Amino acid sequence: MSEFFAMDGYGVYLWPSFALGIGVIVLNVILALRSLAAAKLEARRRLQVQS
Amino acid sequence: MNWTWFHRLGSPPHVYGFAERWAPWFGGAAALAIVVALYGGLILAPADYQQKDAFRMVYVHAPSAWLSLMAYSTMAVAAAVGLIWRMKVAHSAAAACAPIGAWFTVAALGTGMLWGKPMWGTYWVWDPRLTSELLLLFLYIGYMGLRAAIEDPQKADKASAVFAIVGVVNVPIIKFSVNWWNSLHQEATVMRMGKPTMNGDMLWPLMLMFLGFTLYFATVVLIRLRAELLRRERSASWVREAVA
Amino acid sequence: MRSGASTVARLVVERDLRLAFRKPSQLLQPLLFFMIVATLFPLTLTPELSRLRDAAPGVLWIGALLSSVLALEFLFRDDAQDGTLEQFALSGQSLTWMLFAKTCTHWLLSGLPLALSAPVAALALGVPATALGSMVASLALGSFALSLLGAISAGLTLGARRGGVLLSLLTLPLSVPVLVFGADATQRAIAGAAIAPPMYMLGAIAVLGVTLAPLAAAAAVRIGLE
Repeated sequence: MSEFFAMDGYGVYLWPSFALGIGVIVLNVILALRSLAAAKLEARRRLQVQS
Repeated sequence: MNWTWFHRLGSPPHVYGFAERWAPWFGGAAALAIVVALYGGLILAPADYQQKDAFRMVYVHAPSAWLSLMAYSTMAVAAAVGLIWRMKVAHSAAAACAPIGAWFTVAALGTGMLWGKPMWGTYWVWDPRLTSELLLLFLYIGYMGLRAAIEDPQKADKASAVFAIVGVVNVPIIKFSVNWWNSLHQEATVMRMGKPTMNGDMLWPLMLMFLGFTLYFATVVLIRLRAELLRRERSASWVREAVA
Repeated sequence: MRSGASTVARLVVERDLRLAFRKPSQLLQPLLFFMIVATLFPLTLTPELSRLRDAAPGVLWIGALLSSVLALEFLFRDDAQDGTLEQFALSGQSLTWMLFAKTCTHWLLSGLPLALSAPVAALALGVPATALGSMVASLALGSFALSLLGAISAGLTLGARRGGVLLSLLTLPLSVPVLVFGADATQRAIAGAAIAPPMYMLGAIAVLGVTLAPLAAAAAVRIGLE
């Protein structure tokens, strides 16, 4: 198991690398959903002002 | 030729509905593909002869670089469609692509640096592909900066569309000139961040990762697209139903 | 249309030249900037000419690029402010052609003088006299391509707040090919090698620029004027 994490000594580069990739993946989903929520809020407010 | 599908593409409520319905499915498929590919790449695939286990970083670096380029081309095509056919939906799609593409350029650069350190000894090398990725990041930031600097949303859409198209024409020229520059200097030709020669066991996880990243790109674009569509529709009745 | 087009071009060029010579300081400032930049490099690197020679292509071309970006300020700014650009767009004449004429005049007033005065800076950076002719040729061609490219970003940033910095951010990445080939040509000239390959590349970029850039610039200006 610890061999797996060591990855022949390259683990110190490999795991942060994958963490960065997964991190950017997760981050972009979160940012996109937040953008959508904010846009919905704005739209609701606009509709309220008009009616 | 039945052009109904094309006209439907121009209708914001139709596209919004499509995006809302399909985003979760694309997301699920993306997650599945990426998890399976990770298992294949990290556990199943044998270590490379030269790079040993370090080669496994290709499974995150190459798809990130691929996504950064795909996002830019999609953005440019959407921008062109928006300019030529005056489609708000197309401009919205272009705007949706930019932040994702920029982040994955950062991911490509970061993973490239982490791959470069054990391979070449330094975190940064002026390898042609890394250098081109860096310039692509600048183009993304310029695109988003131009959008942000123009008050009127329609003008911002059109101006950034022109920039995206000019950029996409330039990207191959920039890549060509960067390769030219890199080949001028002998030592640098050795430092090419190439993919190791891969056999089948190493290749299928990579292909699956590319698929997974592409599905993921579609997912996030479908989410952001909805936000962009909502922002561009002032008082349309469909918005009322969509945000209720 | 043919005689009309050359008349229009002639009028645009004459007008721009006339207006430019009323404000000669506007023409000298980018040149001065280039000289200052060329002076700053030895101050930060080394006074040794032999070592400066290695850095000379980079210093000269980055200086030329930055100076060109600064000079872009006076391509459209005045005409946008006093409504002339709007008149151009509404005139019924080809805006593309008029902007191309403006860009060429702009190059005559900024890029060409820079190329012709660059030998002064080049000699100060250790460039051998034999390389100067080729260097001037490459700078002339390169700065022409930069003017064409810059017209697009200048048009795009017309309606933007704080357009100046944004203009540079948009132009710089797109100028990489011109920089790479231009610096290579200068480097080869210094080494005494043939400069044809990078010069052909510069020429190709300039031709592409001539055909496409004014179109994009006109589109950008129209968007900004809406």
